[in-house]
Amino acid sequence: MIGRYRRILIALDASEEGDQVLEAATALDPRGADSYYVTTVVPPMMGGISGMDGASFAATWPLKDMEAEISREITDSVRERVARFGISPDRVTVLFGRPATEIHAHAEAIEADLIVIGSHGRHGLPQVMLGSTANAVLHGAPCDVLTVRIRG
Amino acid sequence: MKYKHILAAVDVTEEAGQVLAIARQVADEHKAKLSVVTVVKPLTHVYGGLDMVSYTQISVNFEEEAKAQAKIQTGAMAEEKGVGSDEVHVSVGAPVTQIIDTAERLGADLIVIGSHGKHGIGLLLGSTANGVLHRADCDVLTIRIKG
Repeated sequence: MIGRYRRILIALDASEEGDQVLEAATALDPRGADSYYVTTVVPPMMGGISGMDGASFAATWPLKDMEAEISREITDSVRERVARFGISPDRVTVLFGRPATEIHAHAEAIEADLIVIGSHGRHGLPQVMLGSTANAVLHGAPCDVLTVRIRG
Repeated sequence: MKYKHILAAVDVTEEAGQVLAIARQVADEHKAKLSVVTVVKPLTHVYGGLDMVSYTQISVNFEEEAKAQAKIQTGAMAEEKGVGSDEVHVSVGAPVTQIIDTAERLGADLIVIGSHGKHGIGLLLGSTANGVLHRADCDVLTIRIKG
């Protein structure tokens, strides 16, 4: 892909499967790590607690502190992971929000020309064959997208 | 992980050039084999609802002709990218099914496909690209068709 993709954004989740995505992404460009950016998006905690009044909940819980702590932990683990693929730690960005939205926004911010994202394989039902995040990223992506099938 | 066999799925429009150019680059990077597939929709799909039985012979001829034309047109574009005619596959049927079948038959580990990006209108990913993405058992590189 020499000359074609200059800024490749790898969207990772915090799971072990990220290695498969990193492997596929880094095989794309023999010029080395310089083309790569990595982002991991953490969905907001409120999203997981539907029906609860967010404001009162936030007031009783040091949510921001927790998010900062989670962000630190995730950033450290993602940095460690990408280092094994020769990608510099300062290329890692951890964001909070709806994954597809944040990935699109980050791709635009860094002017990525390719997004690489993992997707779970077949689950037997047509509508869930593509991971929901991968699907959302594909629709409305500002650039080309490489979907990597996660095995096993 | 390097790709070994890349399948570029194209239609017979000018956009095929964009898809083929990228597929060629990736294939070169990975020292992979590059194959091309194009799908001709059967006449019964084009004229849905029409009773085609009485037209069977015409339909078959039409499809054979369309297939031959597609082979020539796609073959010419593929040849520009160094893909020989043996690696150009033309099939008749539903595009998604045919692309997936061809990929599986060839043992392709990456499908490269174009998709229209129509921001703001709501149709964000081409239906063929979308179908392929959902059904492919291998990696898929989706190329945003510009303009």
